[in-house]
Amino acid sequence: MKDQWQEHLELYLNERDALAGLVLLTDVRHAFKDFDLMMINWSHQSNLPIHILLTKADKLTRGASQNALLGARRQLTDYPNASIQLFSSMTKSGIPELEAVLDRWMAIPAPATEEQEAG
Amino acid sequence: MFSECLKFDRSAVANAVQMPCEGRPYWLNEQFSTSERARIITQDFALLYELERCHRQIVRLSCLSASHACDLPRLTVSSAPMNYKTASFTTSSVGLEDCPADSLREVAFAGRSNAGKSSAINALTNQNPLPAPARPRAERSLSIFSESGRRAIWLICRAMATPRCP
Repeated sequence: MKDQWQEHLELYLNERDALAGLVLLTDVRHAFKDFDLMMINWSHQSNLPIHILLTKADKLTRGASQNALLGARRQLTDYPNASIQLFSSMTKSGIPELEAVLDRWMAIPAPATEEQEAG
Repeated sequence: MFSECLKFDRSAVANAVQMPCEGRPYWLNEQFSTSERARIITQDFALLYELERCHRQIVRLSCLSASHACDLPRLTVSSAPMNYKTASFTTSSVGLEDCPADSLREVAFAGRSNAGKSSAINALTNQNPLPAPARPRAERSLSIFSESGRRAIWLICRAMATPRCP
């Protein structure tokens, strides 16, 4: 079941024209894991924007979370398609920043398949 | 006329990146036929990606637009941002074949198990909360959210469980 899912996922990521960007969520308290690095590399190769949320930022002090952000950002210097921010669902911090990124991605026009109401 | 308009100097466009401009993206103008629209969209799409690579620090750059009076297409700040609070759960699917048509704009939320994907969606949409799964590692479906007015679909990849340590 899992293999089948992974296949679907790969197919989705590679073939889906509607995909405007990838939001990658990862716990601010941990360094990037293999899966995270895989997604970052994949998006870079596919030329797809990736926005990383360092989640559960409320679990760290302000200083510690800023340090984590700086450290993670340093790892992304070779990935111009990547952006990163702190996020906390608990305190709702980081939502406006995320919304701004999504707005930008959503404003990229959709593949021109569904516009049938010609003028 | 509009094909001329698209033969612009890329550095000039790059300089125009920061010029805010009101109004709808020009490809939505009714006077374009569907095929013209498709062509314009394809060309601008490529351009937008190129500009994003050059100007990734301009995070609020959101749509490419041109005014009729001017030969120079302008990149604008979207005048009508999405209202994510009105997004609601649409469907879930176990495979690609159940996914909605590949036509709208989508964003995939990806992350390992327990990275906070569902919580982030809940915080963003502020409604229809996703129940916390009783067995997070058993999740194998896509959940799709849409804000129908703006034709956007969000998609959560929920099957990123890493193998347990032995």
